[in-house]
Formats: sequence, structure tokens, C-alpha cells
Amino acid sequence: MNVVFFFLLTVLAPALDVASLHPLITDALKQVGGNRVQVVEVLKPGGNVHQFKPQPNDIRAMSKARLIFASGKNLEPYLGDLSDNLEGHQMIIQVGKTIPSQKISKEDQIYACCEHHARGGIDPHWWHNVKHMERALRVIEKALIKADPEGKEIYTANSKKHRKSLEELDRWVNGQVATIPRDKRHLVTAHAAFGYFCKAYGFKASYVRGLSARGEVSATQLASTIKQLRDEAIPMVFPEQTANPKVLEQIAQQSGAKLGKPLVADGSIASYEAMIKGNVSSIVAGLK
Amino acid sequence: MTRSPIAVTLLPLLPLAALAWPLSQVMRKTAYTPPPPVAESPSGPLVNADLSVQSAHSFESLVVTINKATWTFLPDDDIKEVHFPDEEKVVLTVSVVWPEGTPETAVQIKLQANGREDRSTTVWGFREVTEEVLFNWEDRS
Repeated sequence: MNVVFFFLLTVLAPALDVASLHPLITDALKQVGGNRVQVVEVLKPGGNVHQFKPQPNDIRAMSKARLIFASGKNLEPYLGDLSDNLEGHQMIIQVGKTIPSQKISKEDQIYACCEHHARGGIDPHWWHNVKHMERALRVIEKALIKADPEGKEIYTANSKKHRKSLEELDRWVNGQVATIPRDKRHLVTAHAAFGYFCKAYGFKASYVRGLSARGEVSATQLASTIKQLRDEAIPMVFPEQTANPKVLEQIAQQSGAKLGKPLVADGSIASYEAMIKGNVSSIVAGLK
Repeated sequence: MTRSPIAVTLLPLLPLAALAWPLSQVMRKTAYTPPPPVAESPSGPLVNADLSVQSAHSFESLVVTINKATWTFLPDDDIKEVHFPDEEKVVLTVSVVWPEGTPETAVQIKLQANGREDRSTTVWGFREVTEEVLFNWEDRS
């Protein structure tokens, strides 16, 4: 009996321990790794990806992992410190590193989520283009194969299957966007998080509220945003799930726009597909 | 003193005998063997990329050449890692063979290069096609 138990334990035990610093990366890791990979979710869905910094208990939790996956593009400015504090020889993989970057223009930098992410002007929210998540799956697939070559067949098959479903998701997004008249494809959000989405799916982007530590957008900037919303007859502005919608409510009220359903900007959600479908459905309902 | 008839016959041949070996080296016909081809190693930095293919009908073979490097896709392959010189343009030569009886069909070639936007094109063909494809990133900022 014991022999059977230990045999099953060996066969069914995950072959590879990894850690994830972003909920969307956790989702992708589970898709590609399947049962062969045990994922330590360091930052869980609902956590604030911009303010998170690993604490000693997180570092302990990561100590078993052979690979640590981060989103990259400076979303985790603590990676250098983390690497110094890890006792093992874990490799840190920045999944977004090879994904083409988009810059936050100088004028829009005050609308970045925080000072860290305005610095250098690279927008870290690469996941809002579904094609980028396809690339991310490949990055994860290659890293898992390198660490666990025996699992190659599983990782390749899982990655292929889920890239296929992302292709379908991308087609779905394009189909949904096509129902919005071209001149209404103007996405107004709180912070500069939807640049990749707007570029990929043909929207003009505007941001109405700065959330940086330095703080507030000036009265002049607010007035000019309200005027722009009025002039362009923007029907809806979209708050974000993790941000306080107060200022946006005020802007909406003064410009005559309605407040849409909150969008998930930072990807702090358990399912990538649910995030994309939820965001796109809200945008389409508000603008078409 | 008279020489023996053998000596008389052989003596004039001595200079010829002395030349025989060097002459044989000159005259010997040897098959020409060309120098082994030197693999062209691209100079300068390379860009790594994923090249994926998606064919409307199953193909027999699909070969992609970039410069002198070649990647062969088998019917079950859909993606391969490739590399090319770090330039703004890259030319791919795509050769596809479909099984007999396949109607006119198409294959989508998509290149996802590190740090660069996706590029893709569709190659149409009937039975067999070879086409050059140019991907360009000159407009990237």
C-alpha cells in the first residue's frame, strides 16, 4: 500500500517549482506548465502590481522555485534587490522583455500610474495586446523546457493549444471592436495603461487623471481634458478597478460623459481571458 | 673498352628516368575537389525570432531560408526559433510543397522578432511555390 502511495506521489508530483510575480503570468504559467509545474503565486489576483514589493515571507516562498517569472518592462523595479536577497540560484525571467515596447509620450507621462513607470517612458502594460500574450506563452514555454527538458512535449503541446485559443480571442476582440463606429474609437481612461490596447485595436487614447506620487493634475490640465471630452462628444470614460474613481466621476459629470464599467488595467486578475473579455465588453457597450 | 649492349641502351634513358617522377606528378590527372563550402557566419549582432506558419491545407514540406540559414518545417511543426542580422529589413525565401490533389491554397508566415512588432504575410500556391518575402521595420521609432 505504502509503495503504491509513494509511487503515485512521485509520478503525480510536479517536476518543476516556479514562482510568479504577476497574476497574469501565473495564469500563463498554469496554462503552459499544466500539472508538471507548481506555481508559487507571490502576488495574488487583486494585489497592487505597482506598489508590491516582496517581503521576507515572499522571498522564503520563492526559495524552492527554480525559476521566477516577472512581467518585465520595469513593472518590478525591485528585481535587482530581489536577486541579491535570494539564496538559491533562481533565474529571474522577465516575460515582457522581448515584447516590443511602446513609449509613454512625454506629455502623457504625468498620467502614468506612478513615478517608477513614468521613468524611461516605457509603458509596462504590454498584456493588453492579445498578440503579446501569445509571445509571452512562448517565452514561458522556452524557459520551462530549458529548466525541465523532460517536460518538453507537455510544455510545447500546452503552449500550442493556448496560443491557438489566444488567436481566437484576438479575432474575437477585433470582431467586437468592429461594431464600434470608427470615429467613436476613443478610449478615455484614468491612467496611461491602455496604450498597447489602443495601438493594437485602432483606438485613440486619452488619459484624464494622474496618479503619480507627485500627485495631481493641474486645474488647467483638467479643464483642457473636460473641454476635449465635450468637443469630441465622448460618451463614456472608464474608471479602473484598483483606482479611486472620484476625480474621474467629477470629470465625467462636468463633460457630460457617462462613467463606464471599471476596466482591469494592471492585470491583477486570475484569468487573462476574463480580463480581456470583460474590458472589451465594457468598452464596446459604452462606445457603440 | 666497349660497353655492353644493355648499358648502351639504358644510358641514354637515364636522364628520362630521372625526370619520370616529377613528370608523373605534373601529368597525373587528379579529380578536382572544390574546397569545402565555408558556412557563412553572419557578422554582427543577430535578432532572435519565432517564425510560425499556418497553412490552410497540410503541406509536405516548408522551407524558409534567411541569408544562408535554412529552417525546414515538417507537417506537424508550426513554430521555430530563427535568427537574422540586426537590420531593418529581412528577406525570407519561402518554399512550400503541398501533396498532390491539394487545391490552390495559402500559408501564413508570421515573424515575431524580439523587441519588434509582428510581421506576417500570406503565400498562395498550387502544389509547389517559392516566394521571396520582405519584412520591414524601417518605420519603427
